[in-house]
Amino acid sequence: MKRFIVLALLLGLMVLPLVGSVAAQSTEGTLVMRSIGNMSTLNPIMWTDGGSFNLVSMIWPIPFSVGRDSGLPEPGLTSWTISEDGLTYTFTIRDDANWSDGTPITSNDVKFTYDAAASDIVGSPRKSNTTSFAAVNIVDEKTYEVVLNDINCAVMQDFLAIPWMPAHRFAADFSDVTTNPLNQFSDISGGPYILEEIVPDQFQRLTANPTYWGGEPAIKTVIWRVMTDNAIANQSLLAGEIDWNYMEGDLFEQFQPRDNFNSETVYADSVGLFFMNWADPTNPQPAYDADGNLVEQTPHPIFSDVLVRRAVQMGYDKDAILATLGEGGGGRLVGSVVPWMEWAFNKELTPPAYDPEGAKALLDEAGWIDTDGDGIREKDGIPFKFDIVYSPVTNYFETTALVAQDQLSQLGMEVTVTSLEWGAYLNDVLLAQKFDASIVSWGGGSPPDPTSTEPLLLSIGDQPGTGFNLTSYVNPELDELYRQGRALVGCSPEERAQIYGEIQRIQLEDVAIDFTISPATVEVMNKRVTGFDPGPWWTTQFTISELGFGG
Amino acid sequence: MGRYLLRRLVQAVPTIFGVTLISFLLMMATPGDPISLITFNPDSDPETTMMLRRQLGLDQPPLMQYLYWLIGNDWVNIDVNGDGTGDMWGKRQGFLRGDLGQSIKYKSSVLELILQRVGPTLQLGIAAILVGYGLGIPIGLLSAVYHRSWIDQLSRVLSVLGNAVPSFWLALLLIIVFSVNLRVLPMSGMFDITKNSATITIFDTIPYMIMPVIVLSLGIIAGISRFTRAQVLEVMGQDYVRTANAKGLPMRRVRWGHIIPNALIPAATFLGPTLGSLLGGAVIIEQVFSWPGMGRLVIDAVFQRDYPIIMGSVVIGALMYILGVLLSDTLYGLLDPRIRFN
Repeated sequence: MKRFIVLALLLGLMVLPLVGSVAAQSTEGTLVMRSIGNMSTLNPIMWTDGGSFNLVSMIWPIPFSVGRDSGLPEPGLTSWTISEDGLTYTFTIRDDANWSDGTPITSNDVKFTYDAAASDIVGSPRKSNTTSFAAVNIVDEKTYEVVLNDINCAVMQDFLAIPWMPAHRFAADFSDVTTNPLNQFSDISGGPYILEEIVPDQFQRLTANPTYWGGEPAIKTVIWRVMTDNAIANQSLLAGEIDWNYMEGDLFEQFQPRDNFNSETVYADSVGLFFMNWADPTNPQPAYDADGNLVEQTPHPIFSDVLVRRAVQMGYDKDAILATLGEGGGGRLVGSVVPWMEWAFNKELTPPAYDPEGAKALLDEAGWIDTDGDGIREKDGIPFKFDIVYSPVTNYFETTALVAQDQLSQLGMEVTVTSLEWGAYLNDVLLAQKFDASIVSWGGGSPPDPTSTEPLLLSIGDQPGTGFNLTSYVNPELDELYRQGRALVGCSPEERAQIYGEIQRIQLEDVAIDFTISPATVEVMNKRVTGFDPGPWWTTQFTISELGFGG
Repeated sequence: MGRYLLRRLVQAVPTIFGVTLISFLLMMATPGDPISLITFNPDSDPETTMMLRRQLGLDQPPLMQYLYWLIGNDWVNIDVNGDGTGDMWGKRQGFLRGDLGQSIKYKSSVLELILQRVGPTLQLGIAAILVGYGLGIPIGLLSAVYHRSWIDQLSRVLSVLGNAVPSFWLALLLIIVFSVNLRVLPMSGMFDITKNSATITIFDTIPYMIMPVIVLSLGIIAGISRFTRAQVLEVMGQDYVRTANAKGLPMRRVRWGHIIPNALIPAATFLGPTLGSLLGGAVIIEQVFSWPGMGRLVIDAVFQRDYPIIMGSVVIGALMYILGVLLSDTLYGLLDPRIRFN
């Protein structure tokens, strides 16, 4: 027996150093980035997930870049002109732009891609990005024009949302767009990197594209390593197994030691939302019937009164929620425009302060008074009782729900909180409009534009099950302002800023939605990597070709 | 024996169908929808959402969707744009023609996706079973032979720990100790990512297997050691063991010739269900260690409501369980001559 134990211990001691030597992977000359999920498809008009986006953005041509601080489109692969009527965008592709197989990147590739995305037989989730295109015309091999149905000041988002496909590698009738082998492994690239290997659920390895029009990237090998678990990813960063990760500020506070890392707080076009349903959640209705007539919806028994919505808005402490987000945190919102979209943000408005006494006064004024002394306000026999439903996909949703529950309860409301799995919540509660109050966030496109939040408030979006006007807020004045902001001739930022300033004022006045906070994230990069400089509008995924290794 | 196996396999067919039907209906009853998860963004609109639903057949009643999964939809002209006329023929051939469908998320063959990942899951699972049985049986034997000694007490403590410690917690603990602090074991993945996968052998994966196998096998060790101990103690009390001792056989011969072979027969019955439950057991561990197996595919599919992958995994899981139980029954019959296959 003793011999057996001694033998086992000796064997263990012999094996560990061997294993240790195997464990030390050499990543010299290789940049290892963390991917939050697996790549699902490389098809530039079919991808929908972050894991795919990482690769799509590196191997397929995108028409232009975005200023990392300004958020404005900047010439890159193309330069462009806009016709005086604002309807025709003419793009010129760089002469030296080629696919990695030597074939020129041409207007035909662009037209093929846009037509495929618009086609019914393809079923692309990017179809909606092409609905404003009346025609895509080839002027010559390197020049194309996109003619719009109407002026669309946010159309640059649509162009950037659809990277180009190599038309010569797909059937001209789009019959193989969803089945082409390039969707799973592409041996051709029009971006800074070329795919070398994909091991499902493990990693994707890319090598620098020597024929890239922007010049061959300094880092020759990039690996996207799939790590779904945040805690494991952060430990891997500390252990040197990966070079880059991003995290919320509160997680970054716990990320120690940081001597070997550079970090940047990145603010994005993401708005936190505290929805209060304007309509009765037991009988969700669309804003318009099949003939386009406005539907008279049953108002929500509590939240249909603006005084109540305002009382709720000032009745819980958003600064306290922001404080839980740690370093950088984020910023308070007054409406649907984030403060770092400076040209469109209404600087004359201030976020409502946490004011429990003011909230109580508003509730009294609205007729919600605790008449029976049970601590819960009532009006016309209806107790002030509602449920906040959310999905804990991000920590601050849960924080917001719990802070609101605690502080609003102190104002004489009976608040319950329901947490659901994301898929169930999204389809059966949020999109179905079956909630009293709910917490979620909404992210914008790139380049940033205040139109991103249109779907949340346009009355036509009030369609239970499919639309995004989830609170049934119907305001023709706001509809018209949104139309003007999108369709302004010339798209002058100054004139659009006035329109969006007014939109924010109405949002705040009506408490159409209680816009809470815009959270920041922290990007962390190992110090061995140089050129790390992400901005709010152009993150590291887009700038890998500018990175290098120091010393 | 051939007829016995054939009969058991034929009996498995209705079981598989029953499992798929119940699973499909349960899946349909679960809240959520794959298209909502794809289209909840500013770039989408209600028309695109409805178009995707029609194209994937998700606008059909659940039983019709099950029928499509079973026999395919290549006989259906799908009205994608909702104008009342068919725009494209369905492409699915159905389970009965060997087609498990196309993943909604990955947009590629479910069978291919599963085949890519079933190998790593089996590699991890079989290693865990080998380690679990390889250590669990000797520990159980030692506990029984040295009944009520410190060895027995230690084995009991280990067994309780093995059953009580949450696997994800143990996994994180091992990672912090061996990967972050000592840096002697790789934290995650299956092999060195800087190497080309074509050059990787199973030996290259061994360092990456150590921690996941430890975590996965701990429960098996705990269960099998207690079971073995109980069986050995029971056999030691049997008349034929007493007779062997009485006629003066050496203790070693009594143990190896009479006690252990008889005590281990029931342990074989554990093997089948353990094999069958490999898939379920690996889900958390594959997630924590980023092991590219079926578990991660399944968990992603559940959260994404990727119905074709879920159904494909159900079929594979049911097959593994049925084959595992069949293996157990067969082994039992082979090991114990009192049991006949008829």
